[in-house]
Amino acid sequence: MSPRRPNDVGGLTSGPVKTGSHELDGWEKLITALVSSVGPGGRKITTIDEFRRAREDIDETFYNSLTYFELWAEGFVNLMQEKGVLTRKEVEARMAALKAKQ
Amino acid sequence: MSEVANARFKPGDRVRIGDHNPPGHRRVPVYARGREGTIERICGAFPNPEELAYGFDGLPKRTLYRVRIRQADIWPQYKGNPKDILELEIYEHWLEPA
Repeated sequence: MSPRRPNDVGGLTSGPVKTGSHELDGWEKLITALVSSVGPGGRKITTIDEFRRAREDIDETFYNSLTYFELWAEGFVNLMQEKGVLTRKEVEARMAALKAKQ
Repeated sequence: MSEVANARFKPGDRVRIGDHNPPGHRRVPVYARGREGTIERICGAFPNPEELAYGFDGLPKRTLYRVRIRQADIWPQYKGNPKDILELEIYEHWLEPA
């Protein structure tokens, strides 16, 4: 098995890199706040290293299909499930309920 | 932070980064494994992030070094200035004398 995790891309070929700034969506700010709330500056349920590991554990094909903050959201849900705080099912049920209201 | 008791290496020492692939969350990039460089400084001693990544306390602390590697020693086809370097911060348990 290759030891290379999906984040470990040094030396691989790549397409052009988009530089410059961009606006953050509201949900991107929200996921940042959620991650902080359980981290070392909040409830201390997770460490920064655990959150990094949770993101870098994501399957490579799926990892490469996600934007930066989508990776955060996926890693966050996985880590919260691991810690017994909430389950992916609960998150998905809530998302479905919110979508149905729209 | 550079005062670390029992540091195995000192600035100027030649080292080789371990060329192994243990399971788990390892932070040493694959391209750097097996490469040789020079200790540029001792950064300090910190809880082991490979343990912190799984919810353990990471103790005892591990000594962290800044390792200076020639770019030409990393990339076989490197065409830049032969003096170009890369500095990586690597924990002591990933280093052996070169």
